[in-house]
Amino acid sequence: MRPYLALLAFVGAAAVTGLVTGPAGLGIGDLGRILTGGGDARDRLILLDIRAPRVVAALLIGAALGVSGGLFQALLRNPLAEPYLLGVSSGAALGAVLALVTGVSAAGGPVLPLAALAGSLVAIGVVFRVARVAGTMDTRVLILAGVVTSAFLSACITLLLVLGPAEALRSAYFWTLGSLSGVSWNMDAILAIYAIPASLLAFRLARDLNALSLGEEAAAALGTNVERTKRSAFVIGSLLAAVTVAAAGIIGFVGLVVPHGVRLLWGGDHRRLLPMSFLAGGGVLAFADAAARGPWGAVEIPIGVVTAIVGVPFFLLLLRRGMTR
Amino acid sequence: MLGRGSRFVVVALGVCFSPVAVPDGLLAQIAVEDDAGRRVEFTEPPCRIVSLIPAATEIVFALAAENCLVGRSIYDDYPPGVESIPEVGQAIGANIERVLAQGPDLVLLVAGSDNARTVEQFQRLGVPSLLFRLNRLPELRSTIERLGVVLGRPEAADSLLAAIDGQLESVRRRTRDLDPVTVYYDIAYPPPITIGAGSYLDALLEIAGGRNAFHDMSAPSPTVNLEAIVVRDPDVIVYPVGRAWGGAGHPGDRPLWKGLRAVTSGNVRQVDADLLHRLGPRVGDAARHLAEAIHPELAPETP
Repeated sequence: MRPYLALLAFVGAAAVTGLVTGPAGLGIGDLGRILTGGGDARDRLILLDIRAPRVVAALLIGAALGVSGGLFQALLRNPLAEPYLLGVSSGAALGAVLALVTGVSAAGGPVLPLAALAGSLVAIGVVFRVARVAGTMDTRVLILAGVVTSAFLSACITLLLVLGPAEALRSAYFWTLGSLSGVSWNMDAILAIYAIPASLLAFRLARDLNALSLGEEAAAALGTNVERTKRSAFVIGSLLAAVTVAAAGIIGFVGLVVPHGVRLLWGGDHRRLLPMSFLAGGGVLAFADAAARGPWGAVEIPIGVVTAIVGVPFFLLLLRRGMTR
Repeated sequence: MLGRGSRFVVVALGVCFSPVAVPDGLLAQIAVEDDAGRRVEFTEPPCRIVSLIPAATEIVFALAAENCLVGRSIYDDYPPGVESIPEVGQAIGANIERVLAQGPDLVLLVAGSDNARTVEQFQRLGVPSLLFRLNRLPELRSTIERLGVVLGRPEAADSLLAAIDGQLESVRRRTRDLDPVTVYYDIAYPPPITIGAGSYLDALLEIAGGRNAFHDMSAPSPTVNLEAIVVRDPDVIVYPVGRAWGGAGHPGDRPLWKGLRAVTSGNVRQVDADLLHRLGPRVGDAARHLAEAIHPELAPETP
């Protein structure tokens, strides 16, 4: 139980840090007053409608990326696997860039996220079709299909940006860096509706994924339905990644680093690894988002920069610790 | 190795031959320094020019030297008549072959590291090029002055500058007695990207009787925190839309922006991105357009 308590405390600390961080300078004291119904309209708007939905989005997106990364690492049995490896992000980026270049994104609202979601679903579908031969899914083919589809989609994106209006390039660039700016409670509700049930479904795969880590023949001998497990892991992992990309763009390193970190600290049993990655991913991203908007005055830096700059050295530290143990 | 003795010989040779050589003054009648710090010389005004800077194309037209343009970038869309000049490709990462096919005696390029390799290539091929940076108002002035010198039309450049100064001064006069309003310039969202002091648009807002809400940011287009916009609560929000720029939609349609003073008081105005997002000879029109957008009481004056 102790690791779970530690992780819950970590998530709580991240949430509070996120709530008291920002250029408007509202601190712990204001937080208490506003949550009990006090404070003026502006402070309430900043805390309840700008910061709070952002913190919730960070927790949900980080959690989804953590679980998705854990699933892909188990499915592909490859330490470099991460949520974006198999084309989800380049599909989403192509959808978003199409919306930017054709100008339909100017309609505002949910157009850009929906275009991104559509793009990633198409990419997932293509990769899935290519990798499924005669009813079975070869994970080596899956990796190649994903990487090649990614490369193809990226080339399409570059082509569109080169031929399209110059300003679309700039918007697309910022979109690919990822940002939680401007997320609303509605977006949080949609994220929660997707991410929480999908994560619970992923947790139910844990026993079969443990068997799969022994190899496909061994897993089959242990009574695991190997094909169904692989298919489920791919679909759930991809959908989790797709929904995060639609909501906040591409946020790197969380999905790669968090499951590895959990594995190094608490072992590779997926019955623990997946729920722990859920909690740790959420906490890590909420802290990263606070760091992206806290110390820079009115300026905000892309969250992907924070996850990489802080995440990578921390991960290397864990890796060294894991190897010397 | 070139020792002291041999250098003496070189000098001596130079002295011997100087009576027959053409004096320096005659060889380089025209000399300017571009924004990469390179001194470029011409014996006579070039008149086969490829301009890969849309704003410079506009300047060449404004100096009535458009008959010397033999190529332009795909982004050039102003003034009328520009479409009859052959298109030779992108402004950055130029198509060298297409440019060379026009037989240019001068190529105008945007200054910046993006164009470093292109410049090198033109240098190797012996095609003169000039690099200009057009991010701030003083850079527009110096670019017009230098193009006037190069094209042999310094008087035209002077009168263009005088006309621009006159237009800017008239906008200043009209806004001088108005209460300055704080303005948020909505470039993109989400995340919110606006203009900082590093952009000429910041200076244009000042002339137009406004104050950029993020004047304290030094970058030309900083990404800012939504919270900071709420705290600064600008009087007016302008959002640019144009042919080349769809923009990010009406800021008042964004749920979290509905409480902003500019939104509740109906002070969200669309502005013309095609006019504003290029620093060129139309800068006076751009300033007037901005002034009328942020001070609607000024607008009826123009028919």
